[in-house]
Amino acid sequence: MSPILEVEDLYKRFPISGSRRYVQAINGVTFSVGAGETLGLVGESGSGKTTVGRCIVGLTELSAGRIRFKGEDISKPRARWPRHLLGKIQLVFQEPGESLDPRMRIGRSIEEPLLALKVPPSERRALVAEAIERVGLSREMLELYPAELSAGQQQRVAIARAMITSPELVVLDEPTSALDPTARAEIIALLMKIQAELGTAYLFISHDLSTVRFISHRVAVVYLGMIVEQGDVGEVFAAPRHPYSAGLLSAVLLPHPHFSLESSIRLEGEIPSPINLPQGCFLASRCPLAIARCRQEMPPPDNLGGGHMVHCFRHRDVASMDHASDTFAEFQREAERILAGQKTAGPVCNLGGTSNG
Amino acid sequence: MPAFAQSIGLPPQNSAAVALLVERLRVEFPVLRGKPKVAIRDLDISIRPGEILGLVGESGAGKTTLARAILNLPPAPGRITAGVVQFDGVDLLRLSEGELQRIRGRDISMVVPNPRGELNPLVPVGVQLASIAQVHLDKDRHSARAMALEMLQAVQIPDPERRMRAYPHELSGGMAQRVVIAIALMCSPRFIISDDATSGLDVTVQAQILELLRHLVRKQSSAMLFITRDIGITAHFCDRVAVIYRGEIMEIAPRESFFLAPRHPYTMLLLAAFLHNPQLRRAWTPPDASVRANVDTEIGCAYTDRCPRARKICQTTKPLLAERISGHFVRCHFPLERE
Amino acid sequence: MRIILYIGRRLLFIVPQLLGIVLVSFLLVKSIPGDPAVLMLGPTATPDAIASLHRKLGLDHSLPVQFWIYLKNLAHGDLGTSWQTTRPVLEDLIQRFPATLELVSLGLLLAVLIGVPLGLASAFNERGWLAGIANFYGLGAGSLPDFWLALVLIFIFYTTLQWVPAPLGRIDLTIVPPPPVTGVLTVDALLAGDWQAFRSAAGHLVLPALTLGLINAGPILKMTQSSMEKMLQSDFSRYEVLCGMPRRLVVRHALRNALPSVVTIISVLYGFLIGGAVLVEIVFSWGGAGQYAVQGVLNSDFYPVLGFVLFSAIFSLFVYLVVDLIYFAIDPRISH
Repeated sequence: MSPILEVEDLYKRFPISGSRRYVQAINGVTFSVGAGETLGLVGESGSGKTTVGRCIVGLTELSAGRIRFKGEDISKPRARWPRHLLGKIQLVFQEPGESLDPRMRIGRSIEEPLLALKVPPSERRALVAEAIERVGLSREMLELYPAELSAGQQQRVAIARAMITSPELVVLDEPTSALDPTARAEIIALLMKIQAELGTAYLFISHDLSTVRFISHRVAVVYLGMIVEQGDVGEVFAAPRHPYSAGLLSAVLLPHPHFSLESSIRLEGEIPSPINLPQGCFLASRCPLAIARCRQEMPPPDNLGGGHMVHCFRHRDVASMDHASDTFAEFQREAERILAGQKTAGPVCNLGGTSNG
Repeated sequence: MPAFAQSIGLPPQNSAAVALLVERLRVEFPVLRGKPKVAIRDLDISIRPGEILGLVGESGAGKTTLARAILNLPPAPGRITAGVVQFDGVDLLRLSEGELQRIRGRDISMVVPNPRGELNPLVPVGVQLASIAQVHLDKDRHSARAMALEMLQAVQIPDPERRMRAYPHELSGGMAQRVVIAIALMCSPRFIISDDATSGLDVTVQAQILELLRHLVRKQSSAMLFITRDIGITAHFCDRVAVIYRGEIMEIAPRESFFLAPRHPYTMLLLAAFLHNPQLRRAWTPPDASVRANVDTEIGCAYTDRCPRARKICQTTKPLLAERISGHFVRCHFPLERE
Repeated sequence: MRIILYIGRRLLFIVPQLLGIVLVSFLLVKSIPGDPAVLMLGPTATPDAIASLHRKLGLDHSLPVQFWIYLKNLAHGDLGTSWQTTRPVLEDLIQRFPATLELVSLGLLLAVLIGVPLGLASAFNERGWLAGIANFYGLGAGSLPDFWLALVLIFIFYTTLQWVPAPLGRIDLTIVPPPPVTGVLTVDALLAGDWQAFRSAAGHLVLPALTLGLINAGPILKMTQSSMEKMLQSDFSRYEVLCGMPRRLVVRHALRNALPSVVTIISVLYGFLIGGAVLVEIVFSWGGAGQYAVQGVLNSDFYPVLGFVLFSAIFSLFVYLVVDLIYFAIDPRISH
C-alpha cells in the first residue's frame, strides 16, 4: 500500500494569551496512512490527537513539519490548498449536534461541501440522495432539521456530508464517543461498510481502545503530542512495547470477567501539562520502568520491523515482562460463542492469563 | 492483573441481611396534556451489605432517575408515584425532608459524574469536604478540617495540604472525581450510589478511580449501586450485574452467570455492540428495525420493538422478571435457553 | 499582588478609553445641527457679527483643529465655557454633578433595598404569593415611565397629603444652603451641623429618590430572582442537597454565586442613571447634571454636553472598577 497521507515531524504550539509561554500540543509526530487503510490514533485527553487531525485537514496551522497528500504539500491552511484537493480530505467531528447547523435542513447540510466545489445543482441533488441512502437513512429525512434526529442519526448525516465529495481520506475525530454502545456499533459498522465499498482511508482518532482494535489496521499511540508507539493493530495490542501502550491497554475492560488485558506495568498519576514539558522521556514521571537515562534524554525511535516503531529505552524489558497474547482475539472468539447461544468452553480459567506478576 | 478485577470476594450469599431494598418503585414525569411518562416502572432491587451491584443501561433508560429516587430526590419535574425504598428498617420515601437530610451524605451517599460542575465553584475543596463532617458528624471546625485532609490522602490526591485550599476549577477531571469520592466516603456510609462516576475520565485514570473506590468500599464494608453505560466495567468491578431498559430491569444475575450465560435479547445486543461484529449484531436486531411496533409499555414488554424474538404475546403481556437459574433473573418470554 | 497589578493596568487603560470617549462625543456633538452664534446673537444678527463671533469662539477652524484645541484646554483643566450660564463648565458641573449623584445614589439604594429582598423571597418560593407580587411588580416597574410616576407621587404626597415640600429644587428657597464641601446638600448640612437645612434637603430628596427607587427596583428584582433561581437549580446546589446539606447552607452558597450578576445590573444602572434620571430631574427642577446637559444639547451649547459626557464616563469607569474588585473578592476563578 503506497501511503496517500504522509505526516513528517509535525509540531504545533499554541501561544497562551497574556504570557510568553506555549501549549506544546504536538511535539514531532511522524506517520503515514495508506490508501483504503484505517490508522487508529489513540491517546488520552490532552494528548494532542485532535490537533493532529485538525492540522491534517488544514483547520489548524502547523508550527513546523510537513504534511503531504499523494505527494502534494498540504502543510498550509485549507484555503490555500490546490483546488483539485478540495473535498479529497474530509473531517467528521465528535459532536454531530454541534457540527450540524440547527437551522439548516439535513439535505442542505449534506449538500454544503459540494457548493465549495461548484458542482451544478442537478448533479448535487443526485449526489445528496445517494449519500443519504449510503448511510442508511431515508430520503424523507433530507427535509428534517438536526434536532428531529437521534444522536446516532445525526452522526450518520455528518458522515454522509463528509462522504459526498468522494474523499480519499476521512479524519474521524472521536466520531462515536458521544454515542450509546448500540448506536456506536451501528456507526462503526457503517464506516467499515463504506470503506469496503469505496476504499476510503480513515484516520480514526479515539480514546476508546476496544473500538480502535476492531476498526483499525494499524494503530499509533499518542502521549503528550508524541507518537510513542505505532504498528500493526494486532501486534501492538497483543505485545505492546511501550510502557504507556501497555498501561493504556491494561486499563481496557472487556465485558467478560475472565479476560483482561493485564500488564505488570501500572501507570500512576495523570498526564502532565503540555505547557511545561518534562525533560527526557515524557512518560518518565509515571513510568515504573524509568531509569536515570529516561529523565535526561528523549528515547529515539526504534524500528522493530514490519512498521512497528517504539520510542523507549527499555522496550525489550517491556516485552519480557508480559507474555505476548492476543487476549482481544481470544475474548472475541469466546464472546462470539456466548452470543451465538452456544455453551462456553467449560469453566474458563483465565484464557487471557498473561501476567506473571 | 488490575487489582479491582482480582478475585472479588463474593458477598455472603446466605446472609439474609439487606443493605437496601427497592420495591415496586415508580417515577413519572408529567407530560403537558397527556399521560405522564414513566421513567422507572415498578422496579425491584435488593443489595446485600458489602455487595457491588452494577446497573448497565443506555442514556434515557432511567439510571440517574433511579439513583436520585433512592435518595427521594428525583430529577425535576419527576415524581415518585409508588414504591418503597427500605433502608435501615425505614422507608425513605416516607421520611420528612429534615430526616432525609440526616441520611443523605451520611448513611447513603452519591458519587456523581462531571464533578467539576457539581462542586461549588466559589468554595475551596477543603471547606466543602469539611462542611460534610461538620454537618453530619457534629465535628468542630478544627477536627472537620483534619478529617477532610485525611480523606484527601485516602483518595490519593497528590499534595493534599495544598489541594485543601484549591478551588474546583483548579483541579483536573480525575482529581475532582477523587474529591467527590472523598465527599461520598467521608462519613463511612453504609450505601453508596455511583452514577456514571468514571464516564468523563481517561482509561488510565478510570482504572485508578475504580480501584480506589473498590478498596474503600470493601474497607468500610459498604454496599454499592454502580451505574454505568460501559458494560465492560461491570464484568470486572461488580458482584452482580443488572441491565435496565426504559425504566425496567431486563436481566439481573451474578457476574459470572451474567457474562458467561446471558439470556435477555437486549443483553445480547449490548454485548454484540461491544464486539463490533456486524453479523452478531444483526442477529440481535429485528430484521426491519425501521418498522417500530407501537407497544403500550404498560401492558407489553418494553423491549418488543427492538427485539428480534418478539411475538404477539410480547405486545399484550409484560413478562415477569423470572428466576431462570439460581439468582439469574430474566424479564423475557423467549429468553436464550442454556443447558 | 495580582490585584494591584490588575488595578494598575485598569488605570493605565483609563486614559486612552477617555480619549476615545471624548473624540466620539466631540464628533457627535458637532454633528448636531444648530449654530450657537446664531442662537447667541438672536434673529437680528448680521452675517458679519456672526462671523466675528465664530472667530471668537474658535468655530472658524477645521474640526480636527477644534478638537486639538479642546484637548489642549482639557489638559489644563479647562472644559470650556457655557454660553447659557456664561460660567466655566467645570464650575457648573462641580456644582451640579453632586446633585445628580446624591439623587441617583439614594434612588439606587432604595431600588436595591426593594429589589433584592423581593427577588430573593420570590426565588425561594417560586409559586408563593410573594413571587406573584414580585412578578407583577417587575412587569409594572418595567412598563411605567419614571416621569409619570413622579407626577403621581407629587400629586399624592405633595398636592393631596402635603407631606413633602414643593417639587422645586433641592432645598427650600427660604433656607440658606450650607457651605458647599462635597456639593451633596444633605451631607454638607450634616457637616455644618445645620439641622434645619438637612431636614429641608432630605425632604426634597424623598420623592425623586423614591421615584427612581421604585422604577429601578424592577430590573434588580428580576435579575436577583432569575439568577438566584438558576443557582438554586444548579448542579452544585443539587449536589449539596444530595449530600444532605441543610437548606440554609445551600441557600447561602447559591446566594454567593448569584451575587455577581446582581452587582453587574446595579453597576450598569448606576452608570446609566447619571444621564437617565434627567426626566425626574426636570419634573422636580432638580438642577442636576443631566438637566444641564440636555439644555446644552437643545441650545447648541457644546461644552456643557462634552463636560457632562466626560464626567459621567469617569464616574462609570470608576464604578466598573469597583465592580471588578467585588468580583475579585467573590470569585476565585477571576482572581487566580
